[in-house]
Amino acid sequence: MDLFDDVEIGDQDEGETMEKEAPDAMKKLEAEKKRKAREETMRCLANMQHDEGQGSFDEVPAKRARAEDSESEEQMENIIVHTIRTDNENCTHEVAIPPNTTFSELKQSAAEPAKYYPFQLDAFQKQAILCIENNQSVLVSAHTSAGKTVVATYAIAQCLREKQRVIYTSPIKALSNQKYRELEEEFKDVGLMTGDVTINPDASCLVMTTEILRSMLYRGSEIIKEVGWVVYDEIHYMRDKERGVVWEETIILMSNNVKQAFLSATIPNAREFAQWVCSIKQQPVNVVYTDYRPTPLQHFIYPVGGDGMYEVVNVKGEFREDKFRDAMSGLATAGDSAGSFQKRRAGTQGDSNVLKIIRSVASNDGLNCIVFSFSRKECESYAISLKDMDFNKDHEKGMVKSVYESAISQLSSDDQQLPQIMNILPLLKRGIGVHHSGLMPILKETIEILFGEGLVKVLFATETFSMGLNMPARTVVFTSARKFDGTDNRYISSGEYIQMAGRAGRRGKDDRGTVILMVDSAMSADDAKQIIKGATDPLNSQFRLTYNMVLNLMRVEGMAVSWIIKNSFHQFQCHSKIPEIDKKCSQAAKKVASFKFPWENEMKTFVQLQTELENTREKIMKIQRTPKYLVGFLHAGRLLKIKCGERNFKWGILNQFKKEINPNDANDNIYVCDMIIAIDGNCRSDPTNPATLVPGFDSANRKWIRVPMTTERITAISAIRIKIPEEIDSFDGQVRINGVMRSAVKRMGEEFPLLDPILDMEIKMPQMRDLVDREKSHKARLDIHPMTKRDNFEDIRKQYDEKLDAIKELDALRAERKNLRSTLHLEELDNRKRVLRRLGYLRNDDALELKGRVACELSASDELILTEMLLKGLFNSLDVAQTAALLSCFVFQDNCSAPKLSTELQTCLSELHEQARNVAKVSNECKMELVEDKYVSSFNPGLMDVVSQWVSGASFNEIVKTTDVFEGSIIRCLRRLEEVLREMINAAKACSNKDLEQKFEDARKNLKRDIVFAASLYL
Amino acid sequence: MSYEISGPPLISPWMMLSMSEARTDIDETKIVIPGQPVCDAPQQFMRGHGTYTRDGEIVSSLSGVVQQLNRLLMVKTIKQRYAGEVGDVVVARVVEVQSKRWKCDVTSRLHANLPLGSVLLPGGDFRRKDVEDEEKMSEFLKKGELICAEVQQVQHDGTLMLHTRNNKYGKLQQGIMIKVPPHLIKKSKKHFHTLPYGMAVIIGCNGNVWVTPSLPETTVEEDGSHITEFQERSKDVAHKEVSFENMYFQKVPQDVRLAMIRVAACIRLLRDYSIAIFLNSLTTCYEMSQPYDIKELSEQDTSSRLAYLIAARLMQEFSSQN
Repeated sequence: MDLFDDVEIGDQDEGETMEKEAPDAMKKLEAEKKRKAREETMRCLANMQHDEGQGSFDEVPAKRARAEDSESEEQMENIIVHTIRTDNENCTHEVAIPPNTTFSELKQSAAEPAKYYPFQLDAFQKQAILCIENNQSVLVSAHTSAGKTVVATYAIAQCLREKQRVIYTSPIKALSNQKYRELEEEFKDVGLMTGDVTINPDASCLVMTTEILRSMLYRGSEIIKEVGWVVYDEIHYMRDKERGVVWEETIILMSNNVKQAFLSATIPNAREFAQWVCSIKQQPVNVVYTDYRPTPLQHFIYPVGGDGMYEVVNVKGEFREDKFRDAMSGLATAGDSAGSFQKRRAGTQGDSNVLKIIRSVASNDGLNCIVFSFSRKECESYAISLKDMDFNKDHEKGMVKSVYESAISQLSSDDQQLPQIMNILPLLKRGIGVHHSGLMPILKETIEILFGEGLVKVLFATETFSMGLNMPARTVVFTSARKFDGTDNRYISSGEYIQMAGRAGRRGKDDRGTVILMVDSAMSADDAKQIIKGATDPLNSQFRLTYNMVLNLMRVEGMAVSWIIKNSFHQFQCHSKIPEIDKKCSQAAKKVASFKFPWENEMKTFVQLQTELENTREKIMKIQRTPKYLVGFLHAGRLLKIKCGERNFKWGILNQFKKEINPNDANDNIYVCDMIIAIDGNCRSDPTNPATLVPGFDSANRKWIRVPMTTERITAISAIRIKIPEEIDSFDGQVRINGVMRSAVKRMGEEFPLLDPILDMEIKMPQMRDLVDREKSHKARLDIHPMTKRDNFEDIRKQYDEKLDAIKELDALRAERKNLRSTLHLEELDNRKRVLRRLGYLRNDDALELKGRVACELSASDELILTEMLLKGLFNSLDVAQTAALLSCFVFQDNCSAPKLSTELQTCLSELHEQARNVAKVSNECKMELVEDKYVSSFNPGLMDVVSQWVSGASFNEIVKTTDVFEGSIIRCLRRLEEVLREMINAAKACSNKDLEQKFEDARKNLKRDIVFAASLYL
Repeated sequence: MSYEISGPPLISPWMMLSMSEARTDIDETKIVIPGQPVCDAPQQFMRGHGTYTRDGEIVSSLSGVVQQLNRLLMVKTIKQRYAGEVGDVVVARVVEVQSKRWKCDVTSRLHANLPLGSVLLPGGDFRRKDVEDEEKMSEFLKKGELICAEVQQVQHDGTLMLHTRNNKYGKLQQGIMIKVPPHLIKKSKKHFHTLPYGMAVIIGCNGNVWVTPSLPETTVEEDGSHITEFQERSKDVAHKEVSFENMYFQKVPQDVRLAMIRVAACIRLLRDYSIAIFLNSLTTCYEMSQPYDIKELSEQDTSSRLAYLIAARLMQEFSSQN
């Protein structure tokens, strides 16, 4: 290793002098060449260093990597961004120009504007309209209330004038409905296409969901050939994990001749997005960005249990540290009584606080008001807790009643009696509303309309209300600064905060919007600043492949999946990060090379010996840990050494153990030890979440707590048992454990005698003897190693460790660079194709088989399993209700208690599971990693029974009684099921089986009735 | 006129049939005629294309071979009219200009529709088609002219809806069309091929093969590179707004013409001996025909010998691949 270091450094010195001595151009060129060559050698050398252990050094991949490198840089450099001067400081305008195109100024159009507006346009609106008039694509990034719709309507008006079609896409059906209504009033020649409804599909302006547009592009619909502009509303949805890829696909597949207008909330990387679109569409893309708010916001913090609100961010947007401190101190005094950081149970403790806030908001003329909370149950209980409040006057109550009645008049009298519908009216009359995804769509819409009219003064809503719909309020209240996102109870991100807080302040009605953040546990000023004043979330690609996408693209000639992958925003973002990583990489390489110290090789052998010893010990431990040997020694009071990852808890006391089923594998048992371990008493940590515990064995203020640990965490088993005090949480108990521990340590030092694996535990494997012998010899060799006798051992050790760290860092950077460069999805594509071939969807020469054609029809759900089930005849013996029930597993996602299933349904389900296992097996064999059990359990049988009853003709009222699932979730599930059934009809057609076609058709007919498919109020 | 009398061809029809890879699974015991049950245990199976149920039995409605896909039973005929599938590339002849659509003969049971809205206007203009365009329809495409299109949709009665996805598709001029039975066309990922002999061929899934000097280039190429407009048609089209009519007539050099004729002769040869037509069989045939004059390829002596050799070569390649 020393040798290499020398070579590298020598090389470098030479290079520097060379460059200095190269005054004329030729020499410079030569020097440049040499520099490049040197870099290559350096890289090779670094690689060799790195690969030393593994022997040979493979040059080919390095070469390829370089080739890719130059290509990507080229791509990046060619896109030039010009900044255009705007006459308003609140608004920036940039334009990304494709290579080989010269930048030309946008011209004020001499022609008549396509549309006039009855009000003065803001600067950003004028800029965006200028772009549209020049027929250039534009991304408009502004706050929700700023008025992006103006841009959309201008694009539409211009297209109608030019006799082009224009498509307006929005992420949510409800939003599409609303937009259709709005645009229809203005332009007349407007159509709507969503999964549920199609109105006037031949119109020039079509409002649709992005999914519909994507499938049109796959099919090559004639509408696509007549489109001049596409307007994407709420394009920031592209960062949605599940559906974001749809936008990306749509943008990539769209013809280069089409101009696109993207409307987005404020995003920090708007320019990057524009560069991407520019690079794949070969057309100039403008970015108009503004973070101007027509009505400024005031942010307050309300500490739970405190005595008032503190204005932490004023209208000018300044963060007031002093006010924030006051707020936190208000919390501290109240903190103890409120049970500190214990999680608040839904709607019990927070009520009085919410009540207080609403009272003070109401008395300060702050209505109407949206109260955001992050759980549906919480929303409802808050609304109910406002028993004695009434915000509506008598004449308003009358209006509420008439709106409500006309809304539900389209329902059958039976459905009008549904509890959810009946219960909401008294609330609404008092001006209180609830809005969350558990509500039936018709109620949600009624409440939206009432809120828009100002007849609902206080609205309890979940996050969904902040998406899209333009429903501003005077005041926005957050009941918590934390939300549970499925895995973690975390602070809300600043992006989420901005989106929701943006609802505050009605343009033209209020001079400011008020945002109140309820804080129930101490938070640092930085955290608070991060939430309130932080930047919006960047728009990051969520590109992923699906089988349906692969098959659809392979079905037609001239569209390759690899082409989509190469053009994805994901790829673009990766490539744009490469130069930076390269820089870091070379820095890290230099750092590795800079280490110089004597005795390195000796140190190396020493460390190797040490790791070898540790590995042997670990191997021994692994055998000792197998339940067969271990269980006999799990006596209460035995001292065990515990280590969780990097956190070493050292000795703990075993209290008891129990056997549990392995959550990852139902056929396996695991043993869970109830341990008493020491944590640091100075650090606040949550005993229910082991990840937050801080080890405190050596701490002066250690605290003993009970924590369940799996046996894998045990790193040593001592021969010692101590007596456990009965009450460990009490002061007395703590003292006694401390005392025992201390005296044990005193007597035996930190190394307690361990159980001998052979003598004590009687492990009679021949392997064990080997391991024990090896351990002994390693230990002996280590003890006499020359290194240990050196004076500067510690010093060298430290340097060696530092070097190791540096190498590790370099490796990590290299790996990251490799990841960025390699087209990750291309590998996945190969794997996916392999799966498809194995299952008979694809021929070896990439032409589609019949199975593939069937799967092409299925985009709403798991296409592989459905196709397998269809062709293996699983639906043959089922009746209509069972068919629908079985399919419901594919679309239902909410949590609910496990339902009781009839034996027929149970058999259906297990057959479905069998297919899923089969597919999972094939996927895993083809390197498409899939956790079998998790995959199988992703098919949720929660609504099977409900769906079966509904299709058999039960009324909605009846089925609601049989389940605890929210009405809104049931309706959403049934609507999605209808979509799946529609696709299944086409799939059955594709294999020309009339019987199944009829069965699915019947199921769909039986499904589509009454309140579940009641038309939207916006239509 | 003289007649040439020769012995039987060297390869049997069954051997030739198995040349087309889709038919390697042909099992003579599974050949059925209309009305014949296709399986023994009908309750375990689902009926698919070419079958119907009679008294609880799955019965064939066609004569052909039984194919099984999981639990789905289908009957595939040895020879039948073209039945289109979404995504197929077809070469079709315009038979009628109707209001807002062209009727095209795709050698299927029914004529296919090509709606006015589904074609790209010359110059790649994206706008709604109006009455003016409707009036100009017969200027774009006349009765009797050939087009190349993609099947966009199959309607429930089997009528095909065509469209031109990009400017790779469209009107065909200057070339040779050879009709072959559709079942000989092997479906593959690509049907547009530029051959290394200075010319190109479009193997329509409907059995119409088009041999042409060059292919139009598209905006979206397979490898993702962007090439706008045509090589030959170049940018003039976009600027001058010429109709499809006098789009391009180019002088074709003699060697290209000869290559085209040879390829056409090869296709006929493959057709006559029922060898599947796809890129590989075509190039193999072309290479192996080199020792002969083009006119010799139509003589039975030469052709049957050549066909035997080609078939053997393809068989070998096919078996070595698997």
